[in-house]
Amino acid sequence: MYKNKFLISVIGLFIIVSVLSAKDYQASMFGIKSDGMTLNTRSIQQAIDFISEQGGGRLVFYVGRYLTGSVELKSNVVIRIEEGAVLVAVPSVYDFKGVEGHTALIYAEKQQNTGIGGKGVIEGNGDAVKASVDEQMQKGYLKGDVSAYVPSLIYLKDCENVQMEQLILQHAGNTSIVYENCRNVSLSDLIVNNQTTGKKAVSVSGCENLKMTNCYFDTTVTPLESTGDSQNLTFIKCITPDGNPVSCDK
Amino acid sequence: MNKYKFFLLSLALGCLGPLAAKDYPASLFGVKSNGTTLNTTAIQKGIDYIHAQGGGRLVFYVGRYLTGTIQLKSNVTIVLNEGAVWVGSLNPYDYNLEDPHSCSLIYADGQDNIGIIGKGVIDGRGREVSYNIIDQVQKGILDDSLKLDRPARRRPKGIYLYNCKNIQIKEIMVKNAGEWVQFYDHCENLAIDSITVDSKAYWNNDGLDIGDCKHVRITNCFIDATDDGICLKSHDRKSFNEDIEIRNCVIRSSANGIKFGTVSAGGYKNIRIINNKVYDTFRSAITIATPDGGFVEDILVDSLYAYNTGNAIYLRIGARWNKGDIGKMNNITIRNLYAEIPAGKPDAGYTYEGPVEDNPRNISPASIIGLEGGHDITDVILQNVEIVYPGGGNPHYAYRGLTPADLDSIPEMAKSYPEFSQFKELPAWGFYIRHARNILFDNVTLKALKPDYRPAIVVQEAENITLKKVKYKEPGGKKKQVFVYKSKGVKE
Amino acid sequence: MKIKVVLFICLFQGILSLSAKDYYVTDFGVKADGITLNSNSIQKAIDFVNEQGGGRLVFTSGNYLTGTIYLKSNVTLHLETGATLLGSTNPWDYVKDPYIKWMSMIFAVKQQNIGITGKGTINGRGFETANNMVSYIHRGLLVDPLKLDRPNETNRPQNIYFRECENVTIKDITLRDPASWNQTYDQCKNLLVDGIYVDSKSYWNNDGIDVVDCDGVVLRNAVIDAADDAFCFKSHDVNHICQNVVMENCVGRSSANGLKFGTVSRGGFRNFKVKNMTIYDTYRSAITFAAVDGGLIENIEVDSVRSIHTGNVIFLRIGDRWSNGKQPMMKDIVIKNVYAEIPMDKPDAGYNYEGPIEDLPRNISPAGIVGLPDHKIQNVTLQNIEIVSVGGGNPYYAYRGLTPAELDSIPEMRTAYPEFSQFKELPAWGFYIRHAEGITFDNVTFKALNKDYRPAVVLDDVQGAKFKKMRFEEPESVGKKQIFPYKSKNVVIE
Repeated sequence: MYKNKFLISVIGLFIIVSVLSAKDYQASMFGIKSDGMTLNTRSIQQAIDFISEQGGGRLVFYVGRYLTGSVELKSNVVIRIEEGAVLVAVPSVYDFKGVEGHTALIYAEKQQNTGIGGKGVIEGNGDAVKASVDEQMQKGYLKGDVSAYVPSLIYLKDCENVQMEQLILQHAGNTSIVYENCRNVSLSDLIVNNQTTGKKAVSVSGCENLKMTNCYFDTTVTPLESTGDSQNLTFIKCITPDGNPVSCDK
Repeated sequence: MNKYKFFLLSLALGCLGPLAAKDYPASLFGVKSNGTTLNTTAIQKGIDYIHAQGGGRLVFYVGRYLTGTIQLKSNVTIVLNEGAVWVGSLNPYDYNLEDPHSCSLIYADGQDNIGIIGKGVIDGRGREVSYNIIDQVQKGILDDSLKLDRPARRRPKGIYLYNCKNIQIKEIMVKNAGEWVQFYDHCENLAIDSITVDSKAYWNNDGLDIGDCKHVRITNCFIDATDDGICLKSHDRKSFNEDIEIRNCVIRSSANGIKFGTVSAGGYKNIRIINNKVYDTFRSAITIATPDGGFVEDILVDSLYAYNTGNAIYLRIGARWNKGDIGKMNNITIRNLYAEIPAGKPDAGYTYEGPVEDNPRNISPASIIGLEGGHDITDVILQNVEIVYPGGGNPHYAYRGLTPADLDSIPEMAKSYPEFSQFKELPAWGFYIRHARNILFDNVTLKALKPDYRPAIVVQEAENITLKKVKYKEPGGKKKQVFVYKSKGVKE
Repeated sequence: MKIKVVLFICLFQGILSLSAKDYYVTDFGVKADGITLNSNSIQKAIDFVNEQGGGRLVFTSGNYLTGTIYLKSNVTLHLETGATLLGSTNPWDYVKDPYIKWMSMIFAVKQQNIGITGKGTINGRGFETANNMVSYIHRGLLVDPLKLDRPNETNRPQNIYFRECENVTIKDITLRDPASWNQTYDQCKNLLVDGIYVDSKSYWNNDGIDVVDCDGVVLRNAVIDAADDAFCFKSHDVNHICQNVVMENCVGRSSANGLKFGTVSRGGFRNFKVKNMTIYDTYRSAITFAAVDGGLIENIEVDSVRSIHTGNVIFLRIGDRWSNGKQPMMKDIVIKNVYAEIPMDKPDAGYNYEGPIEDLPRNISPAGIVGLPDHKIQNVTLQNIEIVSVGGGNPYYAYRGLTPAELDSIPEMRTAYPEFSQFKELPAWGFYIRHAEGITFDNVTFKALNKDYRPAVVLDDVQGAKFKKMRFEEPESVGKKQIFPYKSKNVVIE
């Protein structure tokens, strides 16, 4: 009897979870525009918040260019950037936010069961963003270290169960992907191209169970760095343009 | 030849006709130029009236004329003088939404001796109209699948003329349609001259579509469009395009510059494409595709110049909506073509850029690709052709080798949408030929600016290929630039 | 005396901001192209100027697209000629402030020495924003009952909302087309609004200016054309009062009221001096003072008013709508030097977002002073007044006679929304006074252009009324008794 109850509740839970994860929301529902000119930051955030409040689902971007500043990813929300869709960082320093001074186009802290995927592109616009930072520094409106203001593409802190797959991440003005103290994360089939900006592809610190497969890192510097004491990091078929497997800067 | 003369004569007469015809100013029918009065019914009344009077010109002077769908009728010419702008209503319900073919700002069906002329503008405001359709769909009022998050139906075109004769489109600027900018379908004796298309408003903004038309002259046009620039289509299996000339046009597109297809049920015959320029174009300068069973024959492309364009030439037979028939492609002459292919995205920065595709793929070669099972592309001449590539193909990024296994693994993709990039990585950097017969390259130069891991040309499953005076320029050591596989009669 | 102090402070503050340092907003990466959404960059600029100790943030000619920004202490936004702050049409680009619980393009909360100056424009583009919000509500993204088929006022962005600020200067700017009210100054101290132009007819509830529970206000040289009340003073907070206000040289056009106290009137209104006001093409009253939510209205002087082509001239009203047991009060009101013309037709016909046509029939309504039996309006003086009304009241169209039964049948409407037309047909064509004490009319002329079946003035339950130098002009009215007292005492007609 107890066993049955347990089984039923497990099945029930499974059904609920699968129903939740199956729900797709199209970007246009939230007034998000694909014209490459409309700054969609707050509409995308509204969408993420709404989907999160509804219990979760996928926010799907179809072909088009979606201009945005920083958005905060929430639990149970998956962002799908389908083939032909480009999430474009707005070249303006003040449109970026982050966690504890680390800015990123997409950031999250203490969120679970989330991810980004879908054969599309995240365009960091790194040179233009950095030019905007440099200009503001020169004028004295910003102070300190340039890299504190140039956003990463993805920054996750204290997150769990995050999948990133099949994306092209390009022209990041700062390390493209930064994971801090995250657990059970996977990165697969990513192409990271930072040729023009000279930044690293991935930085990992204090993470546990991170698996990276089939990624291609086109950077002018060592693509990966791992600081702090991460545990159980796996790299399978991850290469640089000369065909060499990636190794970690320790 | 005689037919051609007759055509010119009739065109000349067509020009004289409207000149002699009576002019009616739009204000006569209560049409208002303030940009806020919806003029649909007043303009329609004007057209109906002039049509009933035996014909004439409905003349618009400087001002903004807000309107929904207008139906053009025989012997009526719309004259948009400089400064006159037809402004499309933003309300989707002001258009003939529910007719999937004629949904358009201006349409005509079965009319004779009609025209739209003058240096004025037709601005469909298609982006806002499309957004408003999405809004109606999101609220559940209109039913639409919103495939790819855009309305699949009901987006108004700019101009749609069906089954019309003796048509003159001259000097106007057509802007910002919700879908195709202008579509001339089953028309005869069509002259389009000196028009400008500026349409980067929304998806599927083809610049100029010709479907199953006869005797068409497209001359001196400038086209900047998010989808194909000038596009010949054939929706009708029982019909085909014939005697079409595209001359002295300049085209910018986030798809193909000049394209045959994609819908190609009937076919194309006697098409001349002369002295045109293509620039900043995402896909091919010229694509000739017949995936839907139609035939392609007697095609001349002469003096085509392509700058900063993703690909030069793509000839393709497919089997998509072909209903049992497989398309044919014969007698294609391409001469005096010069193309420069960039390493970056050619249309970057234009509104509604072409979609970045699933990578990885090094720069693709130009190609001639028929279908397996004897469906070769035949009798193609490339003469005085130069294509400059960036080269730099990196085998670690994407790789297609020359082993039988590698080459045999290139998919046929018969049912796929035909694009030069559809096969992902191809084994050549300059030209890839497969399922083709009787191909002559005469004085063809292929140049790569950086070393590439691939040879310039791969010929696969082809027959009787002659490479005469073909030059290869690639930095680095000498290498074998032609690789032949499973082919017969390849002469260098 | 107090008012002089206010003026002095304002003047001083003006000098201060002139001598302050100028910063150019475009230096902060803000683009004046009308396409780039600048909210965050403008915010950074404001924060920076604030951190530097203050100054003017200058917008040179151009279109600055923005969503919500927060103004901070010692910062003045200076919009040069040709500069426009252009509101985003995407409702999500605006913040509903968690403290104020409204949406606005420019917020300031608990800041000092702030201002918006210059001959530039703030254009909310509210029509589009409001309609986009309607769409989102229909899609279920925001919960709103869509009462009257429009989003609640608090779910539509205003142009300006300042709350609990001190030393505020609004000068020379043009304000256009918000989605809700235009500009609200709520519990502010020392507010100067000078030389502004408001064109606000883009959507419902487009008030011209709302001054709520402020202390020390100078409002002058303003021209307002608004779909809802033009010059509107409110009292939202039962513990606050809107007081010490000078309003001078203002012109208003409205599809509601020209100058209005209320409708929300919880705390009250005290010490107002209004001088030189022109109201035209206005649907309801040139002047409406409403104490319907328990607040008081006290010591108000209105001097020199022209009310041309306006539905009504004066409506003073005590009601009992949201009083919650508090005792409403209205006393010591002086209105003098007024010329008014009341037309037959709809005064605001043809303006965008015209006022709503009400349940008819009703002949031309008189001006009104209408208290409640238990809350009388006290000490009202009307001096040097001329009201030209179209007259022509037709008893077959609508009728209210002078029998006790008929006069008593006029409803009290304690809890109704206060409008001059609320009682439908009234028994006078010039002035209707009920539940009042100490009314003085001095040199008042009533003119009807057409013969009316009603007398000019009806008094009902008025304790003490003095009529001096009264003149009545009405066609075919020889011998007609134009003042009709009922249940009134100490009525003196000189």
